[in-house]
Amino acid sequence: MKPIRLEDISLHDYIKNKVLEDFVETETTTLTYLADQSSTGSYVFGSDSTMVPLPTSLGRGWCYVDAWGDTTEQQSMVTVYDELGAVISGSNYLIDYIDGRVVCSNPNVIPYSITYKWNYISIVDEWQTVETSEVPIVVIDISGFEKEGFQLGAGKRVPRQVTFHIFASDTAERDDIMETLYDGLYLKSCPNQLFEKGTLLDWNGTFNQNYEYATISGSSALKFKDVAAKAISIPLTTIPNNEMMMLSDVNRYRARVRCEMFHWNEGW
Amino acid sequence: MSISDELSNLIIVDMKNDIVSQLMERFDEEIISLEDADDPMKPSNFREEFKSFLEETIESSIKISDSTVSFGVGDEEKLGFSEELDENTTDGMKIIGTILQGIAGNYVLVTDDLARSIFGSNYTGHLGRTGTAYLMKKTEYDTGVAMHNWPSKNAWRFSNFPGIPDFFDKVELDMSKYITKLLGAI
Repeated sequence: MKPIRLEDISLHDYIKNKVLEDFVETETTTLTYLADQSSTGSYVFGSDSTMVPLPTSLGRGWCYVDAWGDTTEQQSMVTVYDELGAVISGSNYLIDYIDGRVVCSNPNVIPYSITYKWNYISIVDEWQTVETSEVPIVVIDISGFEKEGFQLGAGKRVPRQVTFHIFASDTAERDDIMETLYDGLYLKSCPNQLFEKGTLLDWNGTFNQNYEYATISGSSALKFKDVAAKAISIPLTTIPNNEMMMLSDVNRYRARVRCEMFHWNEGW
Repeated sequence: MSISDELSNLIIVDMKNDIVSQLMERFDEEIISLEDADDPMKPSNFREEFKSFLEETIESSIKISDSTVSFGVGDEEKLGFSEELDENTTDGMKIIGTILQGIAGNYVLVTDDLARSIFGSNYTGHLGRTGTAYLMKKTEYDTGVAMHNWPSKNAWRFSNFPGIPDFFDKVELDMSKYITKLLGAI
């Protein structure tokens, strides 16, 4: 992967699992056997969530680590029960953290209900996907750079402009997210990870058991500078004279947090 | 008025012109280049209005201290760069402000003329809480097309546009030019 992609994933991981760690909700619900997705040796159960927004909607998902920085799969974020309410050991199933599914290989193990924690704020990096998700949403937009050399010797400073676009469901939530993001960036830094053996989640939503934490050799941490936060308003409203409908519009409560993210890189 | 005030005033007009010139260059490159030529409310129709708005508000906000020069957007509340929205402005400024802030989703820009054609005699001449123009979701508009024979419209060109949040941030001033002018005046 190119350095900017690694920076993007590192920042994404830091924002989702550290900065917004308090924006996590818990749900206890039943599981339903999904025959169409199952096969011999792979029995898939989906959660019957009633939460709004949906925990498995774009940019959310179930929590897969107990705390930011952990390199192993969570032990306390997801608990699966059988019909009698007894806890089923984690060794009996895999979890698809993106689509919210439990996959068993043993037909005699029948999950019945589940308690899990999920990310309340949707984190996406495509502006176009905002409309298809549900508020609250944070779009991470990394753009523009102008690398500068050291005064002496090889190496360079690599700055990038980062904008966090916040879409919330009311002013209190907007201000809460805005300040949390600001505080998570101001005078802070996050590791610039290598992800040599992949990211924390595999392509199929399960935890990547081969994941290894390592930072990029010769690179400093990703530091944040000139952090600024502001609530914004859209001059053209979308719905005239109808407050009820306005409340449902994704553009109604917005804010923006901007900063420069930079790191130092040794060598040419 | 002190001598330093007089010297400041001497270069403020030059600074304003340079700032506005750079901003209008961005406006042409990053907004007008994207507009729909057939849009009756396209941004280029409001170019001069926007330029006058910048000239008036920037000149009054330039502040020169011993080591820095700062300026504000002026009536930033009219462009949406604030939680409070000053609705006492024109459709043109609202359209440009919305483009600068960006908007998620696909919309049709409903203007006076379009409103007359779709609402007919029900049209009161004053749509929306902010004035005349407003944005209607494309899906809702398409329902009107199917059910009420509204004229078919494409989505507004600046729908699903991430905005230009750094529009006012990239101004660079050649201070040596102003210092030379100041020295010449002393």
